[in-house]
Amino acid sequence: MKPRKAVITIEVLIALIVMFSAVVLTTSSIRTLNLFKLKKEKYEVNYTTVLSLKAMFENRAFDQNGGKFTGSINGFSYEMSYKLNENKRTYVLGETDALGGNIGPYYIFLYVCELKLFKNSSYSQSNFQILKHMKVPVHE
Amino acid sequence: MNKSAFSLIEVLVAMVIVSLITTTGMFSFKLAINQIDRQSSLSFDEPIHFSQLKNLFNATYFYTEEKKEQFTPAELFEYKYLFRKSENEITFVSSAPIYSKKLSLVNLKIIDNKLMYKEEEIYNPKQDYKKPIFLEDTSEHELLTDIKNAKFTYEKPIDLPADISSRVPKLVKLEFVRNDVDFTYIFDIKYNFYYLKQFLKSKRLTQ
Repeated sequence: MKPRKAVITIEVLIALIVMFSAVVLTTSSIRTLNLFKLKKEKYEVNYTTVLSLKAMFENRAFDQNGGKFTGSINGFSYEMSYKLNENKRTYVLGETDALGGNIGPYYIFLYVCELKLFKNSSYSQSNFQILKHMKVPVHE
Repeated sequence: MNKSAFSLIEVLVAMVIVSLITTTGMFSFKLAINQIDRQSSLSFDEPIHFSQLKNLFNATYFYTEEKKEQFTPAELFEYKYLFRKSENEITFVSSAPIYSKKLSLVNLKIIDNKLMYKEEEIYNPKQDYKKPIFLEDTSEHELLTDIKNAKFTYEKPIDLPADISSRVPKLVKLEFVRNDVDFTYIFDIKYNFYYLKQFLKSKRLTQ
């Protein structure tokens, strides 16, 4: 059989179809895998990280003039800024019915917090509130 | 014989081959997507277990306060704020155990890169509520897996009386390594104001 010198149109077309199908399938698979990875990260790492940080900040002393905490955790770097939203003085702390009396005057502070988590070039933001209390000094 | 183009039969064969390849590819792709979906739903296990642990610690309960008349001073001293902690294990009482709806003694233990959990109801007929223990048939459940170099660390509360803060931490941290990344899960213990009040009241009475 005489060797062929060039491919004919139909061969080129078939090759193009096969290549096109392969490229489409690969792109779709990669895109879906990336989406899955992002989804997993969002619901697994992000969720546990935000709640862990919130628990940690609840045990930190806050400045009434506002402030910022930064650091890194679970592969994220974070930046949490807070500011005082409202403060009230109260003579009742907790549930009054079961306590059978007062334990003294307290200041209650409500802080509004904004937490940003950074990873590579992307970031996610969460907002929450933290309540703090402080016993009113005797001279007041 | 010199061929200048494909015959009809060759084109048909080529089309059949291409459609077979495409169909097989699409079928495999669909299977892969289904697999991803299945894994995606499995990945929710971790946040669920995290939430279960969060609720468990939030609901730490000092049950002896309710029945303290029935305890001797020595027993009360030992079980007042029942919270035994170490690097690998924690035992305490929670009002929100994972499987039961009743007040239970719970235990978290790190074994072989896994976090194991068990619980036992305090007011169980087989149990002495004054000295709660885990019974022989208490089953253990796997909560977290693939946690290398895992350990518990603790942080004391910043503004609570020493009576409580020396025994019960404010933050419990579970530190571990997964996929070469250091992870820290942090859980906080919600002290009920009731115990604070009782403490402050008793302090006032003794002064």
